[in-house]
Amino acid sequence: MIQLQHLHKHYGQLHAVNDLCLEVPSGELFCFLGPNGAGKTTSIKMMTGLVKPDSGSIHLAGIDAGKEPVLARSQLGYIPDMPFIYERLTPMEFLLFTGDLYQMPREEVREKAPRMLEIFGMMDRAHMLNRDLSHGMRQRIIYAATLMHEPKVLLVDEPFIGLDPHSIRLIKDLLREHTRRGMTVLMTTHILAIAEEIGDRIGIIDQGKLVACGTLDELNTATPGMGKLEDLFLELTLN
Amino acid sequence: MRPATLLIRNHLFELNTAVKLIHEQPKIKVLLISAFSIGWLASLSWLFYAGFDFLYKLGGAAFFLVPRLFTLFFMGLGFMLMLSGAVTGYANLFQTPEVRRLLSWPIPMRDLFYYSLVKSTLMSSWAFFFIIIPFVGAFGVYRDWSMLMLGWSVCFSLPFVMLCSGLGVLLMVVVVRWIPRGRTLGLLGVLALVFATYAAATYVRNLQANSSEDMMVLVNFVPGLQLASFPLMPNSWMAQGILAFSNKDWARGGVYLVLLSSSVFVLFLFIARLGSWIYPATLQKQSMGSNALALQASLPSRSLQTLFPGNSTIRAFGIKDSLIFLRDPSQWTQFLIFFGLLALYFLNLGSLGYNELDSVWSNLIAFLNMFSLSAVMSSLSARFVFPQMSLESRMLWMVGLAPTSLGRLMINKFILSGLTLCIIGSGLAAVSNSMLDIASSSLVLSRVLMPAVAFALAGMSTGLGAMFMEIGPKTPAQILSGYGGTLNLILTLLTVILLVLIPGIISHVLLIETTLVFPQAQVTFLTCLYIVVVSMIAGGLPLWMGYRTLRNRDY
Repeated sequence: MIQLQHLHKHYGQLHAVNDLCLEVPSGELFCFLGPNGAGKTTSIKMMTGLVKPDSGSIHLAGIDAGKEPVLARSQLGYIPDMPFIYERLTPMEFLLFTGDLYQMPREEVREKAPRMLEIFGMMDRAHMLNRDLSHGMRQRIIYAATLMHEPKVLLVDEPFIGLDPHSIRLIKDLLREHTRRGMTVLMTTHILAIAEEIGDRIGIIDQGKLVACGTLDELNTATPGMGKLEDLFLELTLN
Repeated sequence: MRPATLLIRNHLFELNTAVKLIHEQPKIKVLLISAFSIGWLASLSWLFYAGFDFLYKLGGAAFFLVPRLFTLFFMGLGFMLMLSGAVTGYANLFQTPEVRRLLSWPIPMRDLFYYSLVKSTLMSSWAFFFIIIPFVGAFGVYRDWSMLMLGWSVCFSLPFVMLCSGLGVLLMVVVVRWIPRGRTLGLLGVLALVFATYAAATYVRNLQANSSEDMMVLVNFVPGLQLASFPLMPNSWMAQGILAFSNKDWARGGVYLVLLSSSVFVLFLFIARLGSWIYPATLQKQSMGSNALALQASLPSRSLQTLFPGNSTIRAFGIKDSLIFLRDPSQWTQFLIFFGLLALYFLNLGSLGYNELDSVWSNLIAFLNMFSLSAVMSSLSARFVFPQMSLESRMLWMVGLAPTSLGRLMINKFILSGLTLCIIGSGLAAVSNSMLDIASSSLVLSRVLMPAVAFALAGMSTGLGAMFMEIGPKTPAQILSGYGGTLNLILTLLTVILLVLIPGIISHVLLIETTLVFPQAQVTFLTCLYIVVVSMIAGGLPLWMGYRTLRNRDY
């Protein structure tokens, strides 16, 4: 699970994240929405440990990320919006690299890597160089690498940019399946229809503050007259 | 206007803008480059002047020697230009994003090749004028000849550099196009190359057999001289032409200039035509060929498993870095050229007769060799080690989240780069020392010195690379040209001077002084201690500071 308590982050005069409190239980797919520059990526980066909060605490899978960052990170998977991968490695080599990096036993990595490539339909491209793969294929490798060490918490930033319908379906199914198995998923997206479709709960952040949070029904009940998530989102983030 | 002309003009505009924007560059960088250029020109001119002075003091032999020295000098330069053209051409024709972008534009393939050829020639050859000018200038000044000599040297140099660099590009395209990739076919290709080298060596030996007696004596001292003086070699036309103009033999010099220019013109047209003919297929092969990978991870994996059995992070980065390095020709060719040339030179020290010199001289040469080796290690650590942490920042989404700290990642980078530099540096120094058969005290110093240099350079470049880590999709060139890259270059060069120069002087004194205040063993021990302390400070301090910076910053 994810627990954020009173998180603050300033960049000079800009209050990027302002007293953010959030709890996402195990087995939930939480959609984190907000306009550009609202503080989504900063919040995610604080959860990953890449950015240090000015104040507040972060617990991931019950571990205090401030006190035990290495242990917390071992439970975490993160997929940014435009991730870089080593161009001159093959998908198989990239998975072996990831396994070593996460200190998984070599035998386990050797057994798991082909299975992950099989799941993502990449076996026939396992020994091609990454630079020769399309954007969608690269995204699949990134998912395979991130999920290989079976993180308990998964943070996904804009997962559907530039993907074809097959890849979008694959990733949606995968996120749903992993959530069913107990993984906590926090996903940011600008595609509100997808948030409505797959999100168990939805949170909207604006100017660093969480301005709405709940299931789609709860949000609709709390704001009568707003028929669609799009209307609610535009209303809450107008300024 | 033809697309090629348009592209070349655009490239020249870009160069012009880059020159105009020099004031936006870090002042320390501009100052360093200016000081280095002036220092380089001055010291090289002085060196050549002293060389000519030495030759002319030998008496009449100089009149026989100097023209041959000119031909040999330009032959060496020609080969280096070819190498430089091949490496730059490969990057320009197959690796730059610009080529991929231009391919989508309505530009004929011939124009694209022609543009890349001219661009590669420009990029690979400008630096050679920093060698040609001091050489010819020093000769002109020594002979009290008109400085116009520099002018006509440039007239000769332009077609010469175009020819050599163009040939380098063409050879590279031919090799990339026709060298087979499979293991068996690759082996056959290497065998063919060995056979071609053997045939060329036999041809040169035959040339030597038909030489005059004076020439034979010289050839025994200076390898390659006969080939350099071969009348059909362009370097020979260049040398003869410059000397003829200098002797006011305008007609003869003019003939050589016309001969060189027209040959280059015809050859350049041929290169452009042939290159544009095979370029599309080569490009196709390059983009398709990587699917069938010859190089697998097994060798680096096994070696690193043996060296670091319990450390999977070192193994992960070791395998990854070595595979990326070996699969990128623009990276390994730089290593191969620099260290390969040094290795060739060191291996030939015996045939040059340096091992028969007095022990003082052979010791001096050994330390000069170690200095040049350390200088190469310093520039390569600045090029490859310093940008590593910034380049890894693109992978922070994975590397930054792994259950390891960025500080530990930095230490891993340091261990791997230090180990690589240490193996190469110590290995090459051992070859040089064994060829020169140096004294035991110098041998001890050398055995301590090279690992210390490797430690200091790797520590400094990794530590400063972490301190000045740049987040974002930057190329190594962009990372190196910043403040941190420039500072690293200066400090690594200073470290090399501190580490190699002082022990070199001490070692020299130990050999020439017969009455020393302290026993030799004690002096050697103290010098070793000095080397260890300086290298610990030079390598350890930036590492510690880099570690602290990584711990305290946001990404």
